[in-house]
Amino acid sequence: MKIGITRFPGTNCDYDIWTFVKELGHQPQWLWHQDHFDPKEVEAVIIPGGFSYGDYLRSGALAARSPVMTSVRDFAGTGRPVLGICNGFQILCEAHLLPGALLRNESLKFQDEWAELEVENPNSFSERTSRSAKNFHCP
Amino acid sequence: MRFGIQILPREVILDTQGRAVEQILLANKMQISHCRVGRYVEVEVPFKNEAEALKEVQKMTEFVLVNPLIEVYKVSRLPEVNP
Repeated sequence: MKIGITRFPGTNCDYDIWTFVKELGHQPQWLWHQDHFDPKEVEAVIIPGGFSYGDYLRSGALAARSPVMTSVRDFAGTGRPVLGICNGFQILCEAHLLPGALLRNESLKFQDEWAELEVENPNSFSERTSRSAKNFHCP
Repeated sequence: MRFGIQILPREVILDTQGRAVEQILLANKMQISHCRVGRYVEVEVPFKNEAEALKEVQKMTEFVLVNPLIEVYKVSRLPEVNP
Protein backbone atom coordinates (compact mmCIF):
# COMPACT_ATOMS: atom_id res chain seq x y z
CA MET A 1 0.00 0.00 0.00
CA LYS A 2 0.96 3.63 -0.43
CA ILE A 3 2.17 5.21 2.82
CA GLY A 4 2.62 8.97 3.17
CA ILE A 5 5.53 10.33 5.23
CA THR A 6 5.32 13.98 6.29
CA ARG A 7 8.36 16.25 6.11
CA PHE A 8 8.69 19.52 8.00
CA PRO A 9 11.76 21.73 8.37
CA GLY A 10 13.62 19.93 11.16
CA THR A 11 12.14 16.47 10.58
CA ASN A 12 14.65 13.66 11.06
CA CYS A 13 14.78 9.88 10.64
CA ASP A 14 12.43 10.36 7.68
CA TYR A 15 14.72 8.27 5.46
CA ASP A 16 14.69 5.48 8.08
CA ILE A 17 10.91 5.37 7.79
CA TRP A 18 11.12 5.51 3.98
CA THR A 19 13.46 2.48 4.04
CA PHE A 20 11.32 0.66 6.63
CA VAL A 21 8.16 1.16 4.55
CA LYS A 22 9.95 -0.08 1.40
CA GLU A 23 11.38 -3.12 3.20
CA LEU A 24 7.88 -4.06 4.31
CA GLY A 25 6.95 -4.08 0.63
CA HIS A 26 4.93 -0.85 0.65
CA GLN A 27 5.23 2.27 -1.42
CA PRO A 28 6.44 5.36 0.47
CA GLN A 29 5.49 8.86 -0.59
CA TRP A 30 6.77 12.18 0.80
CA LEU A 31 4.17 14.64 2.05
CA TRP A 32 5.72 18.14 2.08
CA HIS A 33 4.66 20.44 4.93
CA GLN A 34 3.62 23.30 2.63
CA ASP A 35 1.43 21.15 0.41
CA HIS A 36 -2.00 19.63 0.78
CA PHE A 37 -2.58 16.07 -0.40
CA ASP A 38 -5.61 14.13 -1.49
CA PRO A 39 -6.62 11.88 1.46
CA LYS A 40 -7.52 9.19 -1.09
CA GLU A 41 -3.94 9.19 -2.36
CA VAL A 42 -2.44 7.20 0.55
CA GLU A 43 -3.60 4.41 2.86
CA ALA A 44 -1.59 5.34 5.94
CA VAL A 45 0.35 8.39 7.14
CA ILE A 46 3.49 8.39 9.25
CA ILE A 47 4.69 11.58 10.97
CA PRO A 48 8.37 11.15 11.84
CA GLY A 49 10.12 12.77 14.78
CA GLY A 50 12.77 15.43 14.98
CA PHE A 51 12.43 19.11 15.75
CA SER A 52 9.77 20.44 13.40
CA TYR A 53 10.09 24.20 12.90
CA GLY A 54 12.98 24.14 15.36
CA ASP A 55 10.55 23.25 18.20
CA TYR A 56 9.77 27.01 18.29
CA LEU A 57 6.80 28.22 20.37
CA ARG A 58 5.85 24.73 21.66
CA SER A 59 7.05 21.40 20.28
CA GLY A 60 4.83 20.47 17.35
CA ALA A 61 2.68 23.63 17.57
CA LEU A 62 3.74 25.23 14.31
CA ALA A 63 3.82 21.96 12.37
CA ALA A 64 0.29 21.18 13.61
CA ARG A 65 -0.98 24.31 11.83
CA SER A 66 0.86 23.76 8.54
CA PRO A 67 -1.02 22.99 5.29
CA VAL A 68 -0.10 19.29 5.21
CA MET A 69 -1.74 18.76 8.61
CA THR A 70 -5.07 20.02 7.27
CA SER A 71 -4.91 17.08 4.87
CA VAL A 72 -3.75 14.71 7.65
CA ARG A 73 -6.83 15.78 9.65
CA ASP A 74 -9.12 15.02 6.69
CA PHE A 75 -7.30 11.73 6.19
CA ALA A 76 -7.67 10.74 9.88
CA GLY A 77 -11.36 11.60 9.60
CA THR A 78 -11.76 8.76 7.11
CA GLY A 79 -10.73 6.35 9.88
CA ARG A 80 -7.43 5.31 8.35
CA PRO A 81 -4.24 5.02 10.44
CA VAL A 82 -1.88 7.87 11.31
CA LEU A 83 1.32 7.08 13.22
CA GLY A 84 3.14 9.87 15.04
CA ILE A 85 6.64 9.09 16.29
CA CYS A 86 8.25 11.26 18.98
CA ASN A 87 7.88 14.85 17.68
CA GLY A 88 5.24 13.41 15.33
CA PHE A 89 3.25 12.41 18.42
CA GLN A 90 3.62 15.96 19.77
CA ILE A 91 2.35 17.31 16.44
CA LEU A 92 -0.72 15.05 16.68
CA CYS A 93 -1.44 16.34 20.22
CA GLU A 94 -1.02 19.96 19.11
CA ALA A 95 -3.29 19.28 16.12
CA HIS A 96 -5.89 17.93 18.61
CA LEU A 97 -5.96 14.63 16.75
CA LEU A 98 -4.83 13.10 20.05
CA PRO A 99 -6.11 14.31 23.43
CA GLY A 100 -3.93 16.13 25.95
CA ALA A 101 -0.70 18.07 25.89
CA LEU A 102 2.91 17.23 26.66
CA LEU A 103 4.79 18.85 29.52
CA ARG A 104 8.43 18.82 30.56
CA ASN A 105 9.57 16.08 32.95
CA GLU A 106 9.12 16.93 36.61
CA SER A 107 12.77 16.08 37.27
CA LEU A 108 14.07 18.07 34.26
CA LYS A 109 16.24 15.01 33.58
CA PHE A 110 16.34 12.98 30.40
CA GLN A 111 14.56 9.70 31.05
CA ASP A 112 15.18 6.57 29.07
CA GLU A 113 13.40 3.43 30.17
CA TRP A 114 11.17 0.62 28.93
CA ALA A 115 7.46 1.08 29.48
CA GLU A 116 4.56 -1.35 29.48
CA LEU A 117 1.77 0.12 27.36
CA GLU A 118 -1.74 -1.17 27.65
CA VAL A 119 -3.56 -1.82 24.39
CA GLU A 120 -6.78 0.21 24.62
CA ASN A 121 -8.10 -0.40 21.14
CA PRO A 122 -7.60 -3.95 19.81
CA ASN A 123 -8.17 -2.72 16.25
CA SER A 124 -5.58 0.01 16.39
CA PHE A 125 -2.63 0.18 14.05
CA SER A 126 -0.06 -0.20 16.84
CA GLU A 127 -1.62 -3.37 18.19
CA ARG A 128 -1.48 -5.03 14.78
CA THR A 129 2.10 -3.90 14.37
CA SER A 130 3.15 -5.32 17.72
CA ARG A 131 1.02 -8.47 17.27
CA SER A 132 0.48 -8.65 21.05
CA ALA A 133 -2.91 -9.06 22.61
CA LYS A 134 -2.88 -7.12 25.90
CA ASN A 135 0.33 -5.24 26.51
CA PHE A 136 2.96 -3.65 24.37
CA HIS A 137 6.53 -3.45 25.67
CA CYS A 138 7.98 -0.22 24.36
CA PRO A 139 11.36 1.55 24.70
CA MET B 1 -1.46 48.79 16.14
CA ARG B 2 0.79 46.97 18.61
CA PHE B 3 -0.19 44.40 21.21
CA GLY B 4 1.67 42.36 23.78
CA ILE B 5 0.56 38.85 24.67
CA GLN B 6 1.67 37.49 28.02
CA ILE B 7 1.48 33.71 28.23
CA LEU B 8 1.88 31.74 31.45
CA PRO B 9 1.43 28.08 32.37
CA ARG B 10 -1.87 27.43 34.15
CA GLU B 11 -1.64 27.48 37.95
CA VAL B 12 -2.60 23.79 38.14
CA ILE B 13 0.25 22.86 35.78
CA LEU B 14 3.57 22.06 37.38
CA ASP B 15 5.85 24.79 36.04
CA THR B 16 9.19 23.00 35.90
CA GLN B 17 11.01 25.97 34.36
CA GLY B 18 9.73 28.33 37.03
CA ARG B 19 10.73 25.89 39.74
CA ALA B 20 14.24 25.43 38.32
CA VAL B 21 14.74 29.22 38.15
CA GLU B 22 13.33 29.58 41.67
CA GLN B 23 15.78 26.99 43.03
CA ILE B 24 18.79 28.73 41.48
CA LEU B 25 17.68 32.11 42.85
CA LEU B 26 17.19 30.58 46.32
CA ALA B 27 20.59 28.90 46.12
CA ASN B 28 22.05 32.34 45.47
CA LYS B 29 20.38 33.74 48.59
CA MET B 30 17.81 35.83 46.69
CA GLN B 31 14.50 36.45 48.43
CA ILE B 32 11.91 34.71 46.33
CA SER B 33 8.74 32.86 47.31
CA HIS B 34 7.40 31.85 43.89
CA CYS B 35 8.50 32.01 40.28
CA ARG B 36 6.69 31.16 37.06
CA VAL B 37 8.19 31.21 33.61
CA GLY B 38 6.11 31.96 30.52
CA ARG B 39 6.42 33.62 27.16
CA TYR B 40 5.87 37.12 25.84
CA VAL B 41 4.87 37.82 22.24
CA GLU B 42 4.59 41.23 20.57
CA VAL B 43 2.55 41.62 17.41
CA GLU B 44 1.75 44.52 15.11
CA VAL B 45 -1.51 44.34 13.14
CA PRO B 46 -2.65 46.57 10.26
CA PHE B 47 -5.88 47.93 11.82
CA LYS B 48 -7.13 51.44 12.63
CA ASN B 49 -9.96 50.26 14.91
CA GLU B 50 -8.86 48.89 18.30
CA ALA B 51 -11.81 46.50 18.78
CA GLU B 52 -11.19 44.92 15.36
CA ALA B 53 -7.46 44.71 16.01
CA LEU B 54 -8.01 43.08 19.40
CA LYS B 55 -10.36 40.52 17.83
CA GLU B 56 -7.68 39.59 15.28
CA VAL B 57 -4.98 39.36 17.96
CA GLN B 58 -7.19 37.11 20.10
CA LYS B 59 -7.91 34.95 17.05
CA MET B 60 -4.22 34.43 16.29
CA THR B 61 -3.41 33.88 19.96
CA GLU B 62 -5.96 31.10 20.28
CA PHE B 63 -5.03 29.67 16.86
CA VAL B 64 -1.40 28.99 17.69
CA LEU B 65 0.24 31.17 20.36
CA VAL B 66 -1.28 29.40 23.36
CA ASN B 67 -2.30 25.86 24.11
CA PRO B 68 -5.45 26.39 26.22
CA LEU B 69 -4.98 23.00 27.89
CA ILE B 70 -1.82 24.15 29.65
CA GLU B 71 -1.56 27.92 29.27
CA VAL B 72 -3.44 31.17 29.99
CA TYR B 73 -2.87 34.54 28.35
CA LYS B 74 -3.42 38.27 28.71
CA VAL B 75 -3.41 40.77 25.83
CA SER B 76 -2.50 44.43 26.29
CA ARG B 77 -2.36 47.35 23.88
CA LEU B 78 1.13 48.81 23.47
CA PRO B 79 2.05 52.40 22.60
CA GLU B 80 2.84 53.00 18.94
CA VAL B 81 6.48 53.27 17.95
CA ASN B 82 7.25 56.58 16.25
CA PRO B 83 8.81 56.07 12.82
